[in-house]
Amino acid sequence: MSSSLLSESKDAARSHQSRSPLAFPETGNEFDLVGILLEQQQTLSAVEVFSKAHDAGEFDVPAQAFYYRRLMPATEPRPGQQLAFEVNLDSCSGCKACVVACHTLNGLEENESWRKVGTLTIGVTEPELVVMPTAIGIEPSPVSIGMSGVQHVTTACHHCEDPGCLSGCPVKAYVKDDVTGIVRHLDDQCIGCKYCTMMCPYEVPKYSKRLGIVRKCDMCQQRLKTGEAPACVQSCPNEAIAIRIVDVSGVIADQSNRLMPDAPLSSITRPTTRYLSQRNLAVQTAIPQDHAIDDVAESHWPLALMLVTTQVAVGMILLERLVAGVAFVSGGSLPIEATRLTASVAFAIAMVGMNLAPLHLGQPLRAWRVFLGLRTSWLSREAVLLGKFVGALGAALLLMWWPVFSKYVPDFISNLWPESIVIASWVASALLIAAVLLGIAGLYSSAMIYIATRRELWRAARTLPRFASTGVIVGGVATAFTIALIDNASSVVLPLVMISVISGAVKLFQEWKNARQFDNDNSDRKSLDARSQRLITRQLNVWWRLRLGAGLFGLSACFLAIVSFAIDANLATVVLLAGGSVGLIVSESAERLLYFMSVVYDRMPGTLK
Amino acid sequence: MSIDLALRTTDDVTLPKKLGAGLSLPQLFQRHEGTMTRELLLHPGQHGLGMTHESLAADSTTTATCGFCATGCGLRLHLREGEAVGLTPETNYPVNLGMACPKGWEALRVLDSPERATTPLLRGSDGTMQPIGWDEALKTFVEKIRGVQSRHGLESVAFLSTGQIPSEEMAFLGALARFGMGIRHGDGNTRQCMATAATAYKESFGFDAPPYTYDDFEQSDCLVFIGANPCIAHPIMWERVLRNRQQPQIIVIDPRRTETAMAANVHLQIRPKADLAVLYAITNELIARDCIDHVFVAEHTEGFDRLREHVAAFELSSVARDAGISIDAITRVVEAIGNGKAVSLWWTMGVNQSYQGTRTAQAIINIALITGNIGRPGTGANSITGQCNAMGSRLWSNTTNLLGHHRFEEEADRRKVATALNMDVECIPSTTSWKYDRIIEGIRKGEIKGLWVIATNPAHSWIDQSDVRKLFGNLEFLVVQDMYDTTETARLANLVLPAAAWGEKDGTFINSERRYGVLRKVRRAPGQALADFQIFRAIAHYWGVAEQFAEWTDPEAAYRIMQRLSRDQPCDITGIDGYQQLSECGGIQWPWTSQDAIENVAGPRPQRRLFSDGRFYHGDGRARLIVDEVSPLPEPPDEAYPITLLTGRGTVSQWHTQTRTRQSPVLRMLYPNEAYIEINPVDADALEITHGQKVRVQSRRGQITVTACVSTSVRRGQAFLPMHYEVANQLTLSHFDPHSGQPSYKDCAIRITATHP
Repeated sequence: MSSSLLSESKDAARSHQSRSPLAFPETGNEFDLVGILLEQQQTLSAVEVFSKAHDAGEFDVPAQAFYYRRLMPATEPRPGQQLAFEVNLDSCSGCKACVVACHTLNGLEENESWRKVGTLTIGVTEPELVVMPTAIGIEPSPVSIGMSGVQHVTTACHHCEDPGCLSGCPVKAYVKDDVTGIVRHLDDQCIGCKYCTMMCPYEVPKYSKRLGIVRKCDMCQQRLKTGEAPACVQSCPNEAIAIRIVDVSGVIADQSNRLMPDAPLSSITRPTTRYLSQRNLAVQTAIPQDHAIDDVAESHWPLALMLVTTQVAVGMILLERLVAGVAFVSGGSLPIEATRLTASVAFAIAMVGMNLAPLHLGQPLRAWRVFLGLRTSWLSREAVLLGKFVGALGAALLLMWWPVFSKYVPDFISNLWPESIVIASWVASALLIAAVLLGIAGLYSSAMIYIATRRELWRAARTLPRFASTGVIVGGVATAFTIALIDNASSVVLPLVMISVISGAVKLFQEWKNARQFDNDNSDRKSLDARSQRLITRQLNVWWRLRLGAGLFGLSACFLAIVSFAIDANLATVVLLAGGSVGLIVSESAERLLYFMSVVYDRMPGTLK
Repeated sequence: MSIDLALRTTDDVTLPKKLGAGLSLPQLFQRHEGTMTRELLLHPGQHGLGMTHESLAADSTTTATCGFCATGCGLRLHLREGEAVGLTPETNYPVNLGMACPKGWEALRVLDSPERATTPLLRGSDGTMQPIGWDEALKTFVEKIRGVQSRHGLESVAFLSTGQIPSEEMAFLGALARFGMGIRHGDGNTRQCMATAATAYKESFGFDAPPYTYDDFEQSDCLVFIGANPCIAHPIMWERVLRNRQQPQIIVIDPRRTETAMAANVHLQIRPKADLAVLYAITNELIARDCIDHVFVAEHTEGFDRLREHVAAFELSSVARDAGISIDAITRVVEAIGNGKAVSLWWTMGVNQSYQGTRTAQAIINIALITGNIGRPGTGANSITGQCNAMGSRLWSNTTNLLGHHRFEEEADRRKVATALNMDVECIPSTTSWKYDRIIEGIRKGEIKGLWVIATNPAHSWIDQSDVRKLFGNLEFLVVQDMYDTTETARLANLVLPAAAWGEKDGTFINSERRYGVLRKVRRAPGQALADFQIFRAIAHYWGVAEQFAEWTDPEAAYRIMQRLSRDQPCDITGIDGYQQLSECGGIQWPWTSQDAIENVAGPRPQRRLFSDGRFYHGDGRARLIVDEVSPLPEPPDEAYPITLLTGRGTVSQWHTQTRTRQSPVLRMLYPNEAYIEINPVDADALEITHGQKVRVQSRRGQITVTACVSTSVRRGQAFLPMHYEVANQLTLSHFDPHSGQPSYKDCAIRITATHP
């Protein structure tokens, strides 16, 4: 105890004693007990007495090393090997100290930890036979139903052989160490696009709003380097987590292999963590505590709108080129003004999306490195290709608008262009076609971004038709609108609107039918599709109704536009086409938000919320 | 041993990646380094800490005993200029061996909360709480309590205390209230947790003396856990079990298939409250097979014949049938106990919180005694305590026992205590206090009109909670002294006194194995909050009894008084050389007498157990073998309420009423934030309940809506609701163990119905 504190308090007591007992001290009296107590309260224990005197060199090895030594490998991994977590499920009692130790020892944010512990319910139900106290028949011994109960499962980054985070990252912010196999995230390289949170099937990288980047487990490689055990390994009271050297297999023999029930297929990224258990079979058939309990996923709204707008833009130009081609073949031609306006509107729509997209980034200023991942990342490819699409489209527009604007351009600027170079009239047209091709390639990359995650609800059969149809549905009516503005009697208007109406109606009907089917069919309640559909009709009902309502509105407007076109009500046609375009773009945007928000996927075991 | 990666610069985050090293890109394109990377940089730690993040970097460290459960882990506080910036489990503390559960890891975090009480609050005439100064608060306290006492008599004011404050504060509170303020009745929330064990020990051994030391977990070749789930409730004790190298048989007797049961060799998944009959049947079978230590029984116990006759009625087959388990399973348990060389039996709340808990605990004690499994390494009938200072409350709260576990009724004890306290013997009452349940009944009957609640939350935790809340409305004056002003009880108070918490004050806790460990004042209390010790000093002053308590200047001074009080008691600590020695030894188990200190210059051994000489604390030195009739469930399931509700600890990261643990964002991530009830899958199917949906749960006392958790850990006809959620005690049936007064939380009838959204 601090001696000063002691004597001070004694003095206080003495001075008081001489006057006590005092029922109530007078206000403002010279003896301020409360003040003394408050002051004492703010004095800390005399640490110079109690704290350990730490002489330099007193500890060569961390004190805790005594316990974790045997949980660590004795050598470095050889070629063809890497480091991996090994979890002994029989020892894990579910205390979750590993989660908190990871958080504390790594200095993570308030609610950040790179470990998580889920719970499995294992074993089937007890036999049907009801044993009342009066019954003679004896219930099977609880020993024989020994395989029921709970099993906790601790999980962190699996430092996969083929890490999804790494291959998906557009800026090479992940590196896999060629000796240890540790998958490390480069925090200063990350642009915060969150694509790794989709590419990692195990939900390992976690986004930090404060930093605008993701962070993840690096197996405490800074500790490993000095021979210390990772935080989770050294904090587990039961020594359930160890670092081991494993052989890198290159393939997963059993394609249906999963680390845990409901977990993603191990064939996707080839995780290296090994779970050991004497009741392996029971664990494999267990049910996670959060089984089929789903939450609405992140909307990624800038991405959703970027997808819809770029698809509409590409769709418009594609359809415009098509009808222009048909017109050309059939001897007519589309007025250049119509082409120019269509391309301009498409450009404007694309620019809205392309400018929204960076809102999705936590670190947009670092995004210039997005080309680095071209070799492996569909996100890099999309970014580059759609960039080129916008570039080609912009160039085409410049050429098409030049005759209009050239007279306003001061001579000293237009004179800069060498007269010897004359741009042929077909160049703008060719640029538009280039834009279409680049756009289609970009959109394909967009779709592949999600297909590559191997999330079942984002499978090609669900993603490609959705993405492609958006371009046709909105593109058709929007192009019809821009052409009708220039030439409201154009023969291409009708087919364009028809394309929209038919494809839009088919798509909407399919979705509605799906919803109905999952609502009525109880047999398939636990499938990912059914779970996703449940999210749509329950938690996301508002968006679902917007999807249907705006879609019906858009389709009705298109249908009326066809009627008014037939009766030559020109102004009405234009207005209805505009209305149809808006309705359908809103509807498609809602569809896309639902695509993101209703996604459910295989995951490692969790707990009730 | 270590993986020598240090030489590999390509992997070193502290250095920019070298150009030309393999295919790596230059820093311009691929930034391996920068402010965000540095944020997670670890530095070679001093003080044996290993690689340390900046947030934990310390200029010195000190060790304090954890303030959550009674395991009493040592936490290494990382200090910067005397103030704790973080903590890690203490590697060399003899209790936890470098480990801690999540609560311990987050012990400092829960101090920083907007819910902390930072100033006294007084309920104004408009019903709202208004901040006031300490002077006004203390004057109000004295005026109101005195007012109640003068209107309704001295008996009309009571206090409800806790197992969460240090022993010194408990002793101060008990002495001040009963010797200074004339308060007649007071009890602690330890009534809800340890009263049964204390009563059972006292009757059987002659003193409330848990005989064991944690080393026994490692020395047993057979461990029997009855109504105990150390995996969840005491994970660091489970750590010790897993360090047992004797390849022990582990036996669990529990209605739930807990984590501990999963790890057992034999799990007797008995019907609720079948424990006493099963233990008697085991005893009977042990006697029948002559697995008895006859010499020990003859020399050190009394009542064996009565025991034998009594348990003879508990025939295996009928007991097994009633308990819903197989004869074979019980036989295996009997064999394991009978063949074991060092058998230890452990119990926790499954036994204590039972209407026949005292006798059940004694049935466990009987088994240890008759098989001679006591006083040797790896043996004992061992109660695992709940709260960090439950034993402090048992020894020092001055409620049902006179300070230092003396008796109010004995004049010699009163004189001894008066002398040790330097007080007039007349100020010590000759009657004991009412127990918790009687105090609550007193409120109902209008006998108690003023209540002072310290560091506990009865409006959440007391059985049949709605009844209690209603009763609190009958009080003329309710004072709550707590570190948070948002507890369910504080919200009902007339006056709230803001208390400093663990980490903000000094003192000692006594853990489950009788080990005194020190607390540390390493954080500044928020606002005007004062340590309970300081609040008691202030109250003594304002009450006008400052002179009587002049010696109680600081916790260590109080500790010296406690040492004097303990002289010649089984819990004698006169040999301990102050906080300094406690600190150096990693805590010291009682007893440690001045004689011990003289005889053992090297100081106390870190692991000491009781009764190695077979002498117990009754006058004749013999332990008593106590038996009683088995009684049926007071509220058996019936057609209207067909399910038996069990309550208990849900997860490691939740502590009791969650007032503290819910303040930590990390802890909140580790448990379901919404109340849930575990239901057997077959029952769930029958009730058309799907996992994760909301269900309505009704008892004769209340109705709640919680999430269904379909789980194989409960048997058919049973359901489990964690006690941490406020709603749990809206259902429970108010009934008690007649000997200990402990509430029986784990057996009431309910029905569950699906709600349709």
